[in-house]
Amino acid sequence: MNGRFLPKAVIHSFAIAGLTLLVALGAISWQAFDTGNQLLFPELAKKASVEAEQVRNKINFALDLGIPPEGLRGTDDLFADLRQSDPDIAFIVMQDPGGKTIFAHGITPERIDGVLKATERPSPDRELETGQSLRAGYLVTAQPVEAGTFYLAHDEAALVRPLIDNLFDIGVVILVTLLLAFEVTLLVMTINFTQPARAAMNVLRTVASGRFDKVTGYPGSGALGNFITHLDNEVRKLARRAGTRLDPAREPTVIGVRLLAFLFVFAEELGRSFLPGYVGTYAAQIQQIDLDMAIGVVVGLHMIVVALAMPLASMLYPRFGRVRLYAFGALIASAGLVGTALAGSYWDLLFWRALSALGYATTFVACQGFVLETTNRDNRTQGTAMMVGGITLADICGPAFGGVFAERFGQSTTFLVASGVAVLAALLVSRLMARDISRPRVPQPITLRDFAVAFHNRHLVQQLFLAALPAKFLLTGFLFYLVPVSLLATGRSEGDIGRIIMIYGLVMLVSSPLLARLADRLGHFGLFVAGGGLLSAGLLLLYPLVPIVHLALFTAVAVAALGIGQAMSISPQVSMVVGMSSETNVQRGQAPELVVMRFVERLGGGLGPIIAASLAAVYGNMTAIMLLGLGVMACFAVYLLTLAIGGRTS
Amino acid sequence: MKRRAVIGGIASCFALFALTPCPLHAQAARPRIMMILWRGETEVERGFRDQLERNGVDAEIIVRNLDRDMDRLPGFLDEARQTQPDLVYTWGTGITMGTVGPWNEVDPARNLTKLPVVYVMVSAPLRTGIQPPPFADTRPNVTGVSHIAPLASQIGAIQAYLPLERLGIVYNPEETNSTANVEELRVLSGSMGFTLLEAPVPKDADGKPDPAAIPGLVRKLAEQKAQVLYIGPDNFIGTYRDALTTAGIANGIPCFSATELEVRQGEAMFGLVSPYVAVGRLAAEKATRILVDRTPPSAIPMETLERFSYLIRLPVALRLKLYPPLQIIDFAEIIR
Repeated sequence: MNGRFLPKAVIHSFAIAGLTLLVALGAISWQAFDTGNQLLFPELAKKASVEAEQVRNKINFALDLGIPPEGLRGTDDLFADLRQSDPDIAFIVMQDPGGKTIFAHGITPERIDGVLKATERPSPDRELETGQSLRAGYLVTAQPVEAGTFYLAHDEAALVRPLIDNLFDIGVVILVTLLLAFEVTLLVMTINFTQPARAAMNVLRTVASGRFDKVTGYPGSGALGNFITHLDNEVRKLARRAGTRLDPAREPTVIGVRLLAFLFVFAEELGRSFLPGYVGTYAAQIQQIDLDMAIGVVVGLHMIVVALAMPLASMLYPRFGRVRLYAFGALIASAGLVGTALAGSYWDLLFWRALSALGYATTFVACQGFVLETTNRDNRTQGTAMMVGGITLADICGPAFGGVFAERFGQSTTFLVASGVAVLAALLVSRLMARDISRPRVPQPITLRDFAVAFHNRHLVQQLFLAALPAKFLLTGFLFYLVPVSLLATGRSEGDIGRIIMIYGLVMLVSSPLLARLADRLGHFGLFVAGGGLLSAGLLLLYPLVPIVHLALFTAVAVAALGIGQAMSISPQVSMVVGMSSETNVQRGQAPELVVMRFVERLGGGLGPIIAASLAAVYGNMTAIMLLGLGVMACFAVYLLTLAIGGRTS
Repeated sequence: MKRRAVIGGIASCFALFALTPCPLHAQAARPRIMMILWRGETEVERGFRDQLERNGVDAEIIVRNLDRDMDRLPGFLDEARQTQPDLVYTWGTGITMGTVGPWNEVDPARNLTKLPVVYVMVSAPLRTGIQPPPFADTRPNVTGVSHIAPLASQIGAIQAYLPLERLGIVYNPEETNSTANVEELRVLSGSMGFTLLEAPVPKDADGKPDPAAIPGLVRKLAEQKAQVLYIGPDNFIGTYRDALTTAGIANGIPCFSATELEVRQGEAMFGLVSPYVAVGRLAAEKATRILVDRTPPSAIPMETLERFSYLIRLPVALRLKLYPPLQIIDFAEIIR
């Protein structure tokens, strides 16, 4: 964060407030976790006991029929069935009264005695059922049968998995709460304290230099308010005496864009972790298109509509102005999300997703316009950083929170909540996008001339199609489509998927500023871009070799690598493209090269899920991920080659 | 995995077929039903009569028993032409074929063409031509109930019990239903991965199939390492089922049956069957629609039951030490 927007005192107060909140939330969460632990374990033990009893009854019935113990057949299928309904079951064993093993599944014969005769671990506060014991890392449930004893064992670690999952959920909620608290505190502090104080300082400076032409222009109450009112009154008196005209020193509140950007992206991101699965339930009902393709189209459609709708929204900007445009966009997005929640068929869903995208594009353009209008050349970067900050925050919170929420309250409900968030954004906009604007400016829609300028530059074309497009293509094809789809296919919950997608935003948040600074210091922008691309795609090549049980962990690592890779290349890439632009354009803040790059990136983003889905349809998820990685690596390899040939690595 | 899938499939189609009673308006005239039977009344007829009564149909049932002699059929058909009952009920493929003929070769001189006919216990109505193929017109006066589970389900039922590699069949090559069944088994053996060992019963001096040959045929199948003897819809084998199952047990081979009585009353070890009572009940529903609702038989589908029972004759399984898997015990009806 920049010192100009956030003075030290504010950072300190944030730190104190955040720490207090963290401690309080942590304590409450720990209490909840501990209570859950005590309540849940006996339930799990009871469930294990019931499972064992059911098997015992089956075995006893078979023995009653006159089948000898060694004639019991189909115990392997029985074990498979048990595992299907409860994957935490580790093994089943039956032994005769002499301790001879009659059948054993899920455990090698050599290990049986080691486990069953291991010392029992005491469980002081955990109530176990009759016949149950904790030994060798298992919860063993023993049941007497007519010709011996039947044992059913659960992995002890697996039993606490629901608790660990809870812990993760709690963590996500804490994180989201902290970030939201930070957003709101920042907003309140800036509007009520930082900005009035800064305005007062400006006024005092002009007074000190002997001029009386500025007042703060803030109404106020409280100590700071009284002081400001008093100051303004005194200056007015002196100005009247000197006969000078008064200007307000108050500055436009660009900070509001942070929350607004956060809200509209958050609304969309809430569904991120489960959208493919959600679409899948609709796509399964139609025969015309392959299932994977049908899902990919919906996920990709959103980004394509965003890319195409942005120029349109820019054209509407002068007529409606940013406040109405934002409110309009947020309401459209809200309608789209309600439609997504209640869609009757796949084709309905397609329409509603497109409508959401239209709303998303419109709000995005309104925010961009707001930043353009409220900032000047000196502080535009900071204004943009405000907006990007809000978006990054939403990228982190949205998928994770949406996943947890969907797991507990259902996917449709989550979309309805997202729609509510969009409505909230529409309600807040008139308060957050201050009206006092001195420099009305309009975000320019992309024109054919922009393309002509951009495509005239060979280096830029290479940059666009060998680096910018593949990077976005990978991001959406892998992170937004293949990650949720492949994890869902291996039985992961929405919550798990959301947490894994969240890693991307977190890594970006932490590493972006560091890597951008590093790139600035070292130069070699081209190498940073290429290195980032290769890093983000490299791990994907290993996917076909990853065992299913480690898929989630590996994906988490791959997503983190993707985040670092993208963080490495984003800032140097903008610098490179700006470097390729003509000076005049950059000064106007409207480089066509940059505008075209954003457009190409969005199109690439739209194509990502669709192409990923077609690959998945033909080759399966794992191979599709590998091929995606291979394709992107090939692009960056060629990119690196063109840099080396052109001698442009730095 | 394959075995588990098969078990699942069978489990889902397990549960007895039950028809709910539905009261009907009393009839002005008492309808007359002529039953033409192969070997007297069976559980099928019990189900038929019981369901008719539940439906409130008070019918006069005239029973004509062939007592396993097909030569008596023309006489009964003449009687039907003269007495004009409201409905003719036929038992089994042979009687039904003689009564109504194949759909495309009806002979009005021999077959009944006007009187409504409801058949039961026809194992393969489509293959024998009693039922017209799907694209052809329905038969104006014939409908009925088949009792055999689809052959692939039957083989699946065997595979759920044991890993089947060689399936033996002793059959009467003179019966169309039996040969049609063997032909279908040959086709299935390829797709379902087993070898079919065939043992057609030779004729005796009178030109009739010779029951005395059965033990020898079974011994030969045992030498070829048949794991299971299949009893399909075959009236001859049905008559001499004990000779077959006894020979099977003596050679350590269990019998699987597609019909109920072989397991319930005979010594077949297991089977996937329609309960006879349920077949009769479904036939009674069709009869009710013809007699009471005046629905033409052409508008009533010829069909088989939707659910079948997995039967296991436990003493045979224990004797042969071929114990049923736990999952099958879960849903099978076990006859002790």
